[in-house]
Amino acid sequence: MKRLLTISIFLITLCISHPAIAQSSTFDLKRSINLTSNDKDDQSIILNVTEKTSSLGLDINCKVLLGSLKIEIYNPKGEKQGEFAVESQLKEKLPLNYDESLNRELVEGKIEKIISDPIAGKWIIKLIPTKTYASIKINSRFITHN
Amino acid sequence: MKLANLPFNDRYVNLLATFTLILLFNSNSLFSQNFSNNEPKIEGHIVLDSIWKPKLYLSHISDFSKMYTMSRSMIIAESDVDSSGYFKFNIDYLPKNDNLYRLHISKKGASDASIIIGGKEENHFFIVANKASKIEIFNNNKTFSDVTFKSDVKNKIIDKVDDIVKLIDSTNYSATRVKSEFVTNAFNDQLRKIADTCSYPLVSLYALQKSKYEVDIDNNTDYYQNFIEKWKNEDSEYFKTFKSKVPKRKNAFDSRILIALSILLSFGLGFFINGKIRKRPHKQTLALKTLSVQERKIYALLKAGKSNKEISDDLNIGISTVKSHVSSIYQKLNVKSRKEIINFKD
Repeated sequence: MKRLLTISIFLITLCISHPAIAQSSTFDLKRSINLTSNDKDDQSIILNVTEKTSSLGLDINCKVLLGSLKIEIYNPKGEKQGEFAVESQLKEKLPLNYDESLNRELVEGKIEKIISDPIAGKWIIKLIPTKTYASIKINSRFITHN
Repeated sequence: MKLANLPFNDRYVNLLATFTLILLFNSNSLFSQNFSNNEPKIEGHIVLDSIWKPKLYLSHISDFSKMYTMSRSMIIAESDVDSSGYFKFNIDYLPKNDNLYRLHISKKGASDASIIIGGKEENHFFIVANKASKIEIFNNNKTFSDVTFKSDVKNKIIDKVDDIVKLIDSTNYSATRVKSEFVTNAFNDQLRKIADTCSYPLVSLYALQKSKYEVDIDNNTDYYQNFIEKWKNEDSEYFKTFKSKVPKRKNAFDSRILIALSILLSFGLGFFINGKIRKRPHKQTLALKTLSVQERKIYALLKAGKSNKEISDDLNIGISTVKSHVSSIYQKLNVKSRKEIINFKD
């Protein structure tokens, strides 16, 4: 009993004395985007990172059924921090008898990235579609210290 | 002789020999089961969690820019992974030169053509192979992308490069920005050293690719120009793309030759033009060529200072005919008097 009390006091003291544990907060931002073959222009998703952000987590998922999609991540200095591309073999349109449940032509891509002490400013996730039919899910996690 | 009757040393040697034979026999039977012969192949054992489909896909990466592109058209082969984790690709149809390939797995319920970059679920790794390669692969800790290559030197270097890149990434996950920059620079230097000392061109270029050379070219141009010089005979698409990104070295020797050639060419051109001008027929000579045979005879006599009467007598033609010819000669030679004819240059 005495030992348990000692451990509890130690843990409470640790939590109070350590500002990162005691005063950090997490903010999740989720976005879903669907692109059709009519979306020809590049799209930019902007994430505002402040000086207080101690960690930025990015989790980008995409599924492409038609055409191709390239995803690039840039920091506020314009330096590329990651990229990937997914390309379907179907280039123009889906076959009339295409059964979406079979996922025969579906192509998937995912990137997970955690950036510690990210540069403050606008981080950009650039979507570059080419006659694409795609769904994209972007989960971003900001951990800030108050 | 019974084993018990032998001296201790002999008994020990006999036991060791028997043990070695048993071991050899067992290992041979193991290899005959899976790693059977010396044919070109990519094979190995992988241990995976149940979230993954027991199937491996081999994709051809035709260009370094396609390393993180997923397309079904890039997949060239697939292999089932049996219950022991064994897989095998026959690769005798691959090009004879080294090319870059990607091995990947996909999650149950996900598309076969899926790529996961980063995190614990990274589902791919890269290898260099050709039609004669014999590559054995094992993964560690149930993580697909954390692999070990048995004996294959080229892919051991690829593995070393990938380990350095993982270290860079893990630093970026946890360290402050300044420390992360220092560590990244140090590791990129290490990758450049590997590229510099590696004797396999594509593996060497892979190390450079992973060092993110594009942002370093301006600061370190000499290094990249030397690298190109070292691999000047490499003409694969991988090298063509790389060479196109590095500024060409300005060669002082070449420019001197160019200047000397220009001077020689100028002189040559000068001589040629001068010769042509000299050879060009004189205007007056050209005019003379327009005269008829009879007119030339009369012209010669006019130059000799003969009168119309003398010409008429010499040529046995009438005076009026001589006058008509003289008039025509004046016109053709654009002269107005006999004096001008006498001074006319042939």
